Amino acid sequence: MELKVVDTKPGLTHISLTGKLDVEGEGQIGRHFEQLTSGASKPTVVDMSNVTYLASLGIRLLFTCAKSLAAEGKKMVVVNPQPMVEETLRTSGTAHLIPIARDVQEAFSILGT
Amino acid sequence: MNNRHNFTMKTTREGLSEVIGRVNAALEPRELPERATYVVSLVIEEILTNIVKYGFDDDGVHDVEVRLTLGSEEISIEFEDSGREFNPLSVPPPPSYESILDMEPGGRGIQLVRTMADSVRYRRLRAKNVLTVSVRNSER
Repeated sequence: MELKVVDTKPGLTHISLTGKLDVEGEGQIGRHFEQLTSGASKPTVVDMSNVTYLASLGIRLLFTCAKSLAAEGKKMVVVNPQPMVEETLRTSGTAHLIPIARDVQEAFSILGT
Repeated sequence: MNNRHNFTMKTTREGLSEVIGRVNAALEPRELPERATYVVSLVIEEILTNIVKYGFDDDGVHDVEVRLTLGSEEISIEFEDSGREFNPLSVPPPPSYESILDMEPGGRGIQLVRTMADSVRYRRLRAKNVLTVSVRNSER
């Protein structure tokens, strides 16, 4: 799993993930993801267009960071998940608590940035 | 082409990664529908992760048997372990939360398996947990 910081707007964190967010993927990027999201305490966009697989450890990572941000009054939005990843997000109840945007512009709109 | 694959997993992080890799290698040449491949991988990872983390009372390394059957209409995965008695079907689903501030982040693996697979059956047989999960070999 690869994590990239996308430099789009000041005052928000924009991350792009590529690959599988499974046991191994979470182990590779989990700490860095937490530092960049809950550590930065800014509205956060997570581009999941290139995430091909999401397991419960990955869901836990998203929830943990989103919850931490919410405690600071900040939101996390997930962008453009692939169909099976979106099904996983909806089945797990994640989509109910972390909004899914079709594209980055919609994400910015949800975040009010 | 071989329709049955048996694996023995050691209950370590490396053992888990190894079996996940071997299952994916067995699935790849079959060019199964995307959904079936995805759900089978998810089932394997979630059930085995649970067994590794919670299945045994000691810190020792144990064996878990995984039997994969690739049928034309259905894929069956059977897990057999000698850990403490545990029926995943008895675990209540996580509650639904209105606010992310109230929710507990963990405990969604079994819910994913129960919802995304087509059937899940549990038996306790000769002091072993035997869990059989079926996934339809189609896009749905």
